Amino acid sequence: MTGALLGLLVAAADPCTAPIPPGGGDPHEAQIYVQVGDAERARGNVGAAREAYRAALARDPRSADARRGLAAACAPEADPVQAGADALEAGDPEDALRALANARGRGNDRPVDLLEGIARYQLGQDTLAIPLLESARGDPATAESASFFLGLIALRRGDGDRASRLFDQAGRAIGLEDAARQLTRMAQQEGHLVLSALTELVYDTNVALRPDGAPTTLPGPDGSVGLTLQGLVRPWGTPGPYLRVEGQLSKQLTLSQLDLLGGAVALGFRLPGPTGSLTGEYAYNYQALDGRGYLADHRVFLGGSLLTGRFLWGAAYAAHFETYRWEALSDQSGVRQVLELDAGLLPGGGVRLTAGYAGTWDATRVDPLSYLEHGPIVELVWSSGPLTVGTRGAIAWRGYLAPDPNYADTSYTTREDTRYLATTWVDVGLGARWSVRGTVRFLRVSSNVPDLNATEWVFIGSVAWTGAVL
Amino acid sequence: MNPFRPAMLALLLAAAPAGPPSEAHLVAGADAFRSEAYEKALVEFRVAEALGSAEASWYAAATLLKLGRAEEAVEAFTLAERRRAAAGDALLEVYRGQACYAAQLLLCADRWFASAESRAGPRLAPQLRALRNAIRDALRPEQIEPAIDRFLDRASALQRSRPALALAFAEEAAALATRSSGRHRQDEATALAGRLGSPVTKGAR
Repeated sequence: MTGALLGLLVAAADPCTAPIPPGGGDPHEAQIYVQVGDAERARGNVGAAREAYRAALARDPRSADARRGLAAACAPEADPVQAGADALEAGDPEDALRALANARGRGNDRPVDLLEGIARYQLGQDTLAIPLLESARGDPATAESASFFLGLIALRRGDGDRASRLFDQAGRAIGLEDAARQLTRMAQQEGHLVLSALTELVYDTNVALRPDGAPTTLPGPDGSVGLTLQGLVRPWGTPGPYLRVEGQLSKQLTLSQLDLLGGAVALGFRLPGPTGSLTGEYAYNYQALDGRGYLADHRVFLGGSLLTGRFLWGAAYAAHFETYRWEALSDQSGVRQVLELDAGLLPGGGVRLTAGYAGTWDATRVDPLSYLEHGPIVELVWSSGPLTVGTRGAIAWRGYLAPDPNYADTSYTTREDTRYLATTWVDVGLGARWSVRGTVRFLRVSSNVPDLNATEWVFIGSVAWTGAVL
Repeated sequence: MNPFRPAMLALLLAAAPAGPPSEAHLVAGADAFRSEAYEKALVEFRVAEALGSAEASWYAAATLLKLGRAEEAVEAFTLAERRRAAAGDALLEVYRGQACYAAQLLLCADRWFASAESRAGPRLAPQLRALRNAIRDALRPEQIEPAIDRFLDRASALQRSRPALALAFAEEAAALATRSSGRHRQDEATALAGRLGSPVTKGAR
């Protein structure tokens, strides 16, 4: 009974199904109502059109035009704007453009401009997207979202200043606030000349990775303070070539023989696309320990990522051509190649879960020091507003190529290690340029040569500043 | 002055001797407006308009604003003005200013709020003054030239299909250009507004 009453109430409220009381008003005016209904329907105001057709039918129940108009206004027509939004949500911008092709001229076109602008942005058609998004900025209802995507385009073009301003505007919208804040930080890192400085305070329980059973006279725990300065020059923005110059200083609190002074120069090219990016880089890195040249490293790097729906696929390869400058370490010189493949799941809520597999092939001058290492990696990162929390775990099985004569007195012929690595960090952004981070790292080496088992904990607190100067 | 108070309008019209056929629809529209049944109100005002009421065009424009169709409301106010030069009503000017404001036509909004303020009573005038102050604060110099470009783009795109709305955009661009330090695209905006406001173009749509 209640259901039937509810059904009647719903029907009475629905202009498509509610009965039309006959004889209301002047029958000669029915055609005017039909004309008004047609005009409102053409403008996309279906609600007013239904009212007009009903008023026409009340005056002239036999009006075929009114009946036909009401049927058309009540037909479950697919809303092209909603269809476009649905297609974008499903990650199909081309389908969205097809749906939106017939969405204009039904009243306010700004939401259509916004959706088409987003679709064009996703397809990499920035030149077409910009005027559409600028138009959408003219409507308060769509202004913040439009600013957000204009900011992304500016970011893609390497115009960090404009991106930063646009993200500030986008940040006024509830729901965009967190993303806009994070992107404002990113935008501050875009620009033609970006400088950054990182200071850190480190406590390491096992600086030289001393084996568990080693005599305590070997270097053990120590603290250090570090400073890293970096300059990044992108003359033509992104995409385009870049030059990175980096200097690093680390001063141990007690073990001065491990004081590090380093510098690096890198030349690269970053090619961002609508759903991914590709980076190629050559770098030269030189390090000195205790004031003496220690390691020279020529590095070639190629990495890329691709976003498909909720999955982010990544690949990175690096080849290090390393030369150890100390005579005692010269046998470790050689070519070290690293390959990592991973897949990230983006379930929403600022969470990214990544699983991958990494391998290292270190071909040194002598086989006993050459090794092949491989193993899985898992990483979980959660970002919310200025806060990012992450944890990463990895297992690496390392097998050396030949017996090490240093351990010839043991029953083992060839050294085999299992390395367990875990890192967790908390990063807090303080405005667009400053951030503080706390990191804890753990490494456990478990070897078939028990004397080489080792454990290391590292605690790092750091403060970083990054900003676009030009 | 004839403030747009739908209830009063309904009473006055209902009490009057039988008038033109549009009046019954004006009353029905005013009743619906008062009941916040804006779609029904729009239909009744449109019918009254079709039956020859110039006044109904202004009410239809105000109803479009209530329906959240700001640009259509701006366009409808422009067309209503062409049918009958003045609203003659401070409250309708407030609605028109609100329509301009919602369509981001800030100088248009300021113009209508200023006109309404000069005739408004002691309760409405301070609110209008506050709105005008907010508009003045919102008009930041660095945003003027991009806004001129945006409005001229819109005016150019709409000049054939919706010349009345295009005129509103062109007039806003021309007004903003006078505040631009370099008179950014002022000649272009003024010429376009002049062409769209000419009697030949006025006949379109």
